[in-house]
Amino acid sequence: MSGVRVDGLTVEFRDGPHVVRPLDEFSFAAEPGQLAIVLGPSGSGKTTLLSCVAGILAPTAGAIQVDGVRVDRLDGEALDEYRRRHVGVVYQAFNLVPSLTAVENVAMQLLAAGVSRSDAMSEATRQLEAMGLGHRLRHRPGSMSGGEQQRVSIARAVVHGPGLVLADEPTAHLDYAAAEVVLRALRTLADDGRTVVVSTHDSRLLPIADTSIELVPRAEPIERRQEELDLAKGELLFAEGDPSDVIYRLVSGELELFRTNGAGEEILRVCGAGDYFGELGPLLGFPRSASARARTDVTIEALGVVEFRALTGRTGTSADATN
Amino acid sequence: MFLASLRDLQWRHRRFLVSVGAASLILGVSLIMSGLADSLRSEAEITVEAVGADHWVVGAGVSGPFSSVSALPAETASTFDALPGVDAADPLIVLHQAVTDAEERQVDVVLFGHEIGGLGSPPVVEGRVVTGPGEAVIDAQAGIGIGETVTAGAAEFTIVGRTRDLTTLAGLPSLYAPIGEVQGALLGGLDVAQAIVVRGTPDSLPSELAALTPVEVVDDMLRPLSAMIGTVQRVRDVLWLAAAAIVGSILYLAALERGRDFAVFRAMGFGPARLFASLAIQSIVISALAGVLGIGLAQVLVPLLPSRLSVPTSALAMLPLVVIAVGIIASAVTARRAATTDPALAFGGAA
Repeated sequence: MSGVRVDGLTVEFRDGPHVVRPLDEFSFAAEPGQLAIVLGPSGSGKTTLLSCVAGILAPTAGAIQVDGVRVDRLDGEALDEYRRRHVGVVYQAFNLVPSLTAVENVAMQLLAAGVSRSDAMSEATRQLEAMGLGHRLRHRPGSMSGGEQQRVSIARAVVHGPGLVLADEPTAHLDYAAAEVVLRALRTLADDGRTVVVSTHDSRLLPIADTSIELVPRAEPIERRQEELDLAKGELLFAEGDPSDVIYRLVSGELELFRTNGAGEEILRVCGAGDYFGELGPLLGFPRSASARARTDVTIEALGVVEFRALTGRTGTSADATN
Repeated sequence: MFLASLRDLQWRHRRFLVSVGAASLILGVSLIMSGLADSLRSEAEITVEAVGADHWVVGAGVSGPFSSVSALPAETASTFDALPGVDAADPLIVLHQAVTDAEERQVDVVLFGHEIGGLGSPPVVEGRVVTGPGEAVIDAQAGIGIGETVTAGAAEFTIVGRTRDLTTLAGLPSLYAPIGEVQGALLGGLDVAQAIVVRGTPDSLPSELAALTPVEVVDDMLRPLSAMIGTVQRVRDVLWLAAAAIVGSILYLAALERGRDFAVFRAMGFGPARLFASLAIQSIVISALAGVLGIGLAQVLVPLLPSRLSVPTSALAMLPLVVIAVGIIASAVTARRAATTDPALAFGGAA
């Protein structure tokens, strides 16, 4: 297929003793001519997703297909070739090389693809002029505004004619005026027939998107009646990575919070009667960062965020919070 | 990637110039060290050549006239004249000697006792050659003028001529005097020689004698200095490594700052080999500039040194290879780091 298709993408890596899984069985698709927005808070795996699609991070499992190419199966020279011809990346921090002028920064992408220097410079000049930067060709990034730098970055991402353009938080360092110019440029790239995938934490960008994907479904503060659950010893209440929606208070018995790592399980905390746990996930919209299991037969009270705040008078989280 | 390498050199020109300056100083000194080692050999070659012999005949098993004392009857030379292949043969004495000049100053020389008008009488650049008893020729390095006298043992010689560049063992001047007076004054009147110097090539020699070529005689003269020459050459090698370390450390520091750039290049599709090559080129450019400056520095410093030496052509010819080797060694660690940069580093948040 044309465009980009991601199926069951899982990325795992070790962070000290813990195994972190920023993406777990994630899937999405975007067609040529579409601008897709990947929405999620910090730490939700947006950058990890884009890194995998860009062919610079190998996923643990799952499939990534770009214009019919199985990116997850590429390695070595084939992977370099994919980066040189099929994908362009716009970075949050622009990532322009400070020693190169604007036109040279753009030309580097063509030089990577083996284009002659004179042709690369001509094409880079044309691309920058199209971005309204004809007057900044010989300027180095240090003497350009953030908006100009990001437009140079966009020019670099498309100068080699890739079918897929990835933009990682492209407006994060820009004021609203510069952000508008950059977003308009990205919209134009999609209108020209490319597949454009933009990651952001800012839901205000959604109106320019043809399709959007929320990496972590937002947990709206929900009102729900206080309810009690009974678990038998050894029974799991929730697992690491599960969506967070409610906060718990242990009424009776003992319950343990644990994480799984390569060496087995690591007990983070043992809760006793009266302890609250699992607050951060629902409050911040994060998935569960640990699993909860009954050490004895337990009775647990489940509360919505609004109810929790009303009950405790807290606007934040408890000191020993674990989501 | 050559464009990026060139621009980075311009971008960080101050620190690279510091690197070029430091490396050029070291390469310049290494050239002088090469000159020092080379000048010892060329000095010996000139002095041996001035004797005018094609072969030096010594006792069989003797290492040579400069490193061993082994006397031959001087009259042996007369028997050589009849040998096929021999055009001329004369006895020669070679002695390390401290002589006293007219101002009672002791001057270390290598004293050549030779037949008047025979082999061993050197070409002079000032005055004339020895034509009779009581006369001597001395090298200008001794600082003794024509008409002055020197005393060797019981014999006094009047200087009638001066040579140039006929020295041994790093600047020891040569003194040339009639063999008969040298024998009388220093060898108790024994009619002996340390070598029979021969023009031509004797077809055969008695078994108790051996003929050394001038090259073998030069090796013999340099034997006492071989350890020193070896040390000089090793020090020169270490200096090359020091130059590589200077260039390499500057490159490495620059590469630490360029981690994000390398990650972006990798994300663009530049393979590890191209990153490696770009840094090697950068390193070779720095080393080449240091090499050119080093040559200039050596040319400036050599005349200021007390020893007579010059930078040998062979060292200059070898310098480009040294510079490339220095460049590649210097870039190896840095290039490896750049080539293995994780392109995922490009996805950082800080602007």
